[in-house]
Amino acid sequence: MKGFSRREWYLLRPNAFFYGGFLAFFLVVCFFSQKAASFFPVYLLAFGNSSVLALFTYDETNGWRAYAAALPGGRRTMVDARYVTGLAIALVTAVVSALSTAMAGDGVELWFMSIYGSATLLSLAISIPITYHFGGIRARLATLVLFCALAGGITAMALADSRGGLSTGLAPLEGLAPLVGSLPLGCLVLYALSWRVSRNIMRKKEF
Amino acid sequence: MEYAVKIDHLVKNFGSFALRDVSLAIPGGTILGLIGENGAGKSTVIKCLLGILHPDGGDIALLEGEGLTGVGYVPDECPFSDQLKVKQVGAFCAGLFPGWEDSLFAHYLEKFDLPADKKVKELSRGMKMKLSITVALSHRPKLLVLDEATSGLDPVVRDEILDEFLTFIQDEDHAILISSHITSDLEKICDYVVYLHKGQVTISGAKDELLEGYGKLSCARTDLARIDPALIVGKREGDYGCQALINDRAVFQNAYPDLPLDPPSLEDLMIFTTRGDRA
Repeated sequence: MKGFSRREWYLLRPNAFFYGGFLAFFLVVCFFSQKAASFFPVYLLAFGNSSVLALFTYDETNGWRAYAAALPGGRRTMVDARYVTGLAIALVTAVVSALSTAMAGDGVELWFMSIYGSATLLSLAISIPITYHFGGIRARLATLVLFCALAGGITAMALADSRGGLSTGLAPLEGLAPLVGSLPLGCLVLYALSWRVSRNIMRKKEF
Repeated sequence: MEYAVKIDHLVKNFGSFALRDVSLAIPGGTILGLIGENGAGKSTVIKCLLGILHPDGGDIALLEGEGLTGVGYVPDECPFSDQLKVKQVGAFCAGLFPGWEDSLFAHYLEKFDLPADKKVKELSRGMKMKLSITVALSHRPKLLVLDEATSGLDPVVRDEILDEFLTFIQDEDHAILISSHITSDLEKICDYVVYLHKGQVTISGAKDELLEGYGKLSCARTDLARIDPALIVGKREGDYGCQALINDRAVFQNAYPDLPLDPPSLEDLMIFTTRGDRA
């Protein structure tokens, strides 16, 4: 899996450098603005999903998937590397969520990290097997709709409460605070099931 | 190793096209050339062999049970993303192949004059193919599988690559399966030839025996008319004469000593079998 994971990192790295610059800019904005904390993790949720979809696009050009299928253990390991990448993206999303609330003056909010990390896991758990089955181009519309539903819901709740004067506009999301432990656990279980489904899809796929 | 590859009665259906009862075997230390026109099923056979496609029937034995670990695969298109640098390709391929050797990768980069810091998209077609071959060779495979690897390359690069294959095959435990419609390349290096036509094996055997067993006849219409049709694989009649492919040189020369035969090429075998009119 090391080879597949390293390939994914090389392909995502140019975007990651761009994202790092964007992150630095917005953390500064969060520090001075105090109302932008919820925007940035939503952007990260979008970025994470689009990065994974971009990897599928790279796979589908040049006949990479057919080539990888001819490697020893290639079909299974290809899927494993993609899901490990997804886990890494979810972890980064959670950490950056914590950073954005901290920079906004509210300290590290665990439930905030939990929601965005879980949302990333959930969106990837749904979009990855869809993309494996239908291909990157055909699955793009479905994953776009899914992401808009997730991100829109979270952002709408945050914006609705920002009028109440709280520093980060996150009060509605605090209703989910009791789920800080079970939400990510549930999403991890779904992610694991999605992993298994994707392995089955790729085991049968022909290129 | 007795056989690097053994395929028995391979079947694969696609609806409008099907591989039917394809059988071939590659002994250790030999090169088998898979020839056929576009759409004959050459790539389909290779993909079934490597598990890229799932066969509908038949048996496949790869490296006497060792499987894909000892296989170096070179597809017709460079599979590495354009954004990656050559050295990055080597870095991640090191994690894909158990027997990978960085020193061997560096050796082939130097031998093929491939710049490590260039992106794949900046390489010419020939250089991309050399990169694919470099990766295939850098984990010391026992079997090289090349699918149209020399198509679209200039003669100098093709010659260089074919020489590399001849070096590879010096080891009796090594074997090569190469598919191509450039029959002149296969004539240079192959020990065995299998000709696929519309998903079926039409001709197969040792290359030298095939070329010695068949004969190419150039004659007048009147001469062609008196030849036993059972000896004619295919014929082409023109305004100024006729050509025919004879399937048994020895019998023909006994029966028609006045009609000289020329040695055919693999291209002749392909053309007369595919496009020649049946006798």
